[in-house]
Amino acid sequence: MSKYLNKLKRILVITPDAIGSTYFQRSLTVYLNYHGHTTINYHDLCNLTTDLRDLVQTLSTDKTNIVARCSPYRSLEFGKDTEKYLKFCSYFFTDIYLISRCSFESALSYCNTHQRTGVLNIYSKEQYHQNKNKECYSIDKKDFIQSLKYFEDFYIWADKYFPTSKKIKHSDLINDCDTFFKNEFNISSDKKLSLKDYNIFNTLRIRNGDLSNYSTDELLHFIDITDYIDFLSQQNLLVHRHKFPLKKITLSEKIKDISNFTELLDVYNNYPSNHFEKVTKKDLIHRKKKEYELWNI
Amino acid sequence: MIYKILILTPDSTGSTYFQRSLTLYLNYNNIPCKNYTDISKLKSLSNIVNTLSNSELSIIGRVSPATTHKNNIKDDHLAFCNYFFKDIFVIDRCSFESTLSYSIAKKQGSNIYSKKDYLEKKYNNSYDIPTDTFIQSLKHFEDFYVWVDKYFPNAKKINHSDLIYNTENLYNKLFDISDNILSLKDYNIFNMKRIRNLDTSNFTYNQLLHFIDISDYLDYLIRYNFITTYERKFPFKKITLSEKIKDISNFTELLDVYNNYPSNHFEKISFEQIKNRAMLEDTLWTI
Repeated sequence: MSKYLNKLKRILVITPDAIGSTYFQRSLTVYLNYHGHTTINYHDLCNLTTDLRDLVQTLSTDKTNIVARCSPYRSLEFGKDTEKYLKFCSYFFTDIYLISRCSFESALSYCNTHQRTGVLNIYSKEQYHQNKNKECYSIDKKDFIQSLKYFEDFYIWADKYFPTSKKIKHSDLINDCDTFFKNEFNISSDKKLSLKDYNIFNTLRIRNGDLSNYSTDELLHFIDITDYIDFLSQQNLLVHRHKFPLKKITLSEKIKDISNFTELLDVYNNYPSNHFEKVTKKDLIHRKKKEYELWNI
Repeated sequence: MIYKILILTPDSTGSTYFQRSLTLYLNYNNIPCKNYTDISKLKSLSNIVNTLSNSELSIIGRVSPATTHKNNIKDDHLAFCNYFFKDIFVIDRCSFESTLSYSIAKKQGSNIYSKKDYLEKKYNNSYDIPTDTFIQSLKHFEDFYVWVDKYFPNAKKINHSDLIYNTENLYNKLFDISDNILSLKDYNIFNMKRIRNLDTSNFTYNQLLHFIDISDYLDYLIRYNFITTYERKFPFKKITLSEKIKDISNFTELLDVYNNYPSNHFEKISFEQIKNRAMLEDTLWTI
């Protein structure tokens, strides 16, 4: 293996989808590049190749930092080499993360994508307006239970193949990813990026929220961040057509729009699993309040 | 109404800006339109015919002698394009300026798409363009005009300065749209200044928000395949004429070479005319 590799960051996020992994990958790629650490986001390693020898060869000779993801369903694309592929990932990547998000919220997001919009993430205002829930809707109970099983299976898979993965709190990632990344990856650069503010601004902007609190200097900074993301895309360091995800549904939007929300919460709390933390309506109201303080919507 | 728009280009005449800005303009004005970039990428004649004929969207494409040659595009392909496209354009730009841009692009790539891209590629010192490179480039442009005369004799000319400095009025007239609020000219000027770290304080808060929305809308067009060159979003002004005069150390020598080049397609131009044009351009960019 190359002598360079020990100095390089090799970061893997394991994901069932709908837990913030796309945001993690893209924001981390932007963050590291911006602070002088050339980093390529391969998104899912299966996008690179499903030939294990090719994958090993490509990653082992790569002289840039790597951010990638691995998921149970896509790893099956390696066919008979699936087990070997997972072992390789576990060995090769130096930082393996699992985003710890309330499974109730993740299962709701997952159902919203798979039963309704078909769109996991949104990347522009126009796309947000085309895919947002325009009226109240209910989530089929049977489908919700299937989603819970899907998440339960994911955690069992993660325990089996990536038992030493580190947990990232979803709230740390969303509430202040800059500080989280700075501490986690020992970044000493003082260049101002503030992806957190960029994220909040875009969440408001695509919803036609009030932007009057922002100064022209802040707008210029956001324009520069978008421009920098375009540059990374042009350099093939980010995924071209899906550059930077914007907040699709907040918790308060879920509470407001899902007509059988309370019924689903009961289903969740009664689902037999060692991996799901119980959550009360009061917890969710508190979390919604916290969310409001962040997004201001 | 489905538009079928073709741009003929030797490169370095503003054709990328034309294609992207027009794709943005038409979609923004509720005319769904797909930019196929270079038609020769569709390769075989049957694929070109099927893809274009079955499109339910307006179409913007380009053809150029260089890519048709590279992709083995034959005369019948070009004959089909001449028949199929209802609006065929050539950008009418001073060939001296185009040749300079083309010669520079050979060394450092043709377009820039972000501030970092600009700062990495721009020349920080004076430079010269070798005379033989310049003469080769002149031949390239001469060959292009001969090619246009042969295959697309009815192509319409668009004035380059109208395209750059009056984009929307030009498109409003060409496509009969009256209620347009895109402000491409301002977007262009803002980005030209922004990437050069020039003063942008005269742009209002609402203008900045509007520019953010334009950039966001371009991402939407890329996401949904209306713009097919995913990695390149929207080209920004790379080098102004003033910057060329200032930085190209053998500028006057190249002007002499240009004016003495035997061609029926190149208009003669004096240094005085160029200086006046540079002044006018600087006023338009308000540098």
